[in-house]
Amino acid sequence: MITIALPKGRLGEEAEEIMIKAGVVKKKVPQDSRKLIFDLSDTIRILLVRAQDVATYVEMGTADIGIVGKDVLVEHSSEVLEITDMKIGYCKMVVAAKKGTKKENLFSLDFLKVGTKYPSIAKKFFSNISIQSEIIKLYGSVELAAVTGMSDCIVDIVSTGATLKDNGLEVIEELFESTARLICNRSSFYRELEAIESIKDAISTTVAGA
Amino acid sequence: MTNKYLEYMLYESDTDPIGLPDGITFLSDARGDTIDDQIQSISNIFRGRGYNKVIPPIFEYYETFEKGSGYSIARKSFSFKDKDGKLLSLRYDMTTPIARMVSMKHKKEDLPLKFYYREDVFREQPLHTGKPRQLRQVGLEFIGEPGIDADVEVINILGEALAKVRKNYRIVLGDVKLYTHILSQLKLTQHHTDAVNASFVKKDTTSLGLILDQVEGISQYKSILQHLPYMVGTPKKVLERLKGFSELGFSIYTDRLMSIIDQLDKSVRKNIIVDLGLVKDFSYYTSTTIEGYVDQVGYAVANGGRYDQLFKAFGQDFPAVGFAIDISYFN
Repeated sequence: MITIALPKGRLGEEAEEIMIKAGVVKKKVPQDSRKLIFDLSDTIRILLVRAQDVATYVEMGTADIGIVGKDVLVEHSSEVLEITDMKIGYCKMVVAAKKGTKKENLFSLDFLKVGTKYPSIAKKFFSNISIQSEIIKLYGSVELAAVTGMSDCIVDIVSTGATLKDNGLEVIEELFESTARLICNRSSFYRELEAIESIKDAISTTVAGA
Repeated sequence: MTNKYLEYMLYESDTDPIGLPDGITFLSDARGDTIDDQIQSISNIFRGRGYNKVIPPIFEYYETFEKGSGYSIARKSFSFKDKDGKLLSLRYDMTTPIARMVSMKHKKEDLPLKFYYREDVFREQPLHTGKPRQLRQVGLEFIGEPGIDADVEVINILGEALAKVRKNYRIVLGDVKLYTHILSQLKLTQHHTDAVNASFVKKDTTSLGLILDQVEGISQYKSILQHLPYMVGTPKKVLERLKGFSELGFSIYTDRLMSIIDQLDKSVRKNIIVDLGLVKDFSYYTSTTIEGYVDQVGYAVANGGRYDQLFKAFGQDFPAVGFAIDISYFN
């Protein structure tokens, strides 16, 4: 039995489509049901979890594999194997501030107040370029922090950039690009080597062909 | 309103309730007996094979751990100051303190030495990740024998010990010599080497590819490095996958590992998985690397390998191989 931690929402549904094409699963699980565990067959079980929690379920071995964005993996530095790039859920981790803000001006401040859902990434990024930062951890609608002036800038993911634009913000610096990864528990990888390798190969082939 | 309400309101304030810090347990239920039995039966195997018990101190100089394992490991130890201002650390691992003791106390003529221990180690962990900060370990060290006989003996004992605790187990074996050889051919900067190491630990070939794109070097070496994380499986399968790169003469780096596997007890050999891309967080391993896995545990329950360089940090040149089993993960 292979247990898959699937993130709720659009990323999860896109991942399901790839897994169906790859023949790993036969059908989608109903996202609107209140059930969280689905036995799709004798060999596949799906756990429906929040995107931020996928890596935790996989790292602890409750799920054998899972699908999660690289942004989340970098933030939590989970001890999991990243076995395939699923090439979906593309986004960029960026520093953004009010439109018209000059990078030189922003980065020459003595210290920056930074609103973000990614405190670890933000802290490390600013430390690396020798800027003292004060991180304000937020849970959503991070743009608001910069718009209202609660923070000097934000560190967040953008895909199209529409939300930034609508709120009068713009990208100051790009940190890294992120896509969804198929991750695997270390112990499961070795103990279920054949099953996991065949899933990895089927998904890589599907992703490459799409 | 009940009194409970007041109690919860206090959660907002900074007053800490009396209890235990994260990642620490005070075990008083039936598991205590189980753990005691497991530790005892594994210790008996070690002693039966001629290993002598050592009882190291719980803390010693921080410097010992930094010399042995480097800053990235030592910084995760619990440290505090001695009266004279010297920095002390709770032991992060058992191998480093034993290597220090052996280096200072013993000469070449005393070798080989075989030691086992059953002690706790202490490691900093991020908050709220469910990981223990005090790990119960049972392990052994075989010091003074450079040949494969020592590796074979140690891996056989590990198999026997894991079988005592769980019916199904897997031992993953690698040899870092192949990996370090390839890296040396690519002439990477320290920054790139760190990034390559990180991508190997995660078997993240996507990031690895991005790093290698930035690196000058012979394309065949880049190509094998890109494939190395997934050279995993039975010895036969792994050698088959390596064949594509045979013109680079890699067999000298895998022959040793294959001879070890050939000589293992049959009952242990059937549980072996070879992983030529196995890279471990302890930098002191120089050749064979070992990990043990059992059902229903998401982490490696055993870690070890050959560490012929560690003693140099303490002024000696002794070959050694050993492993530790983390009993905490079984229960």
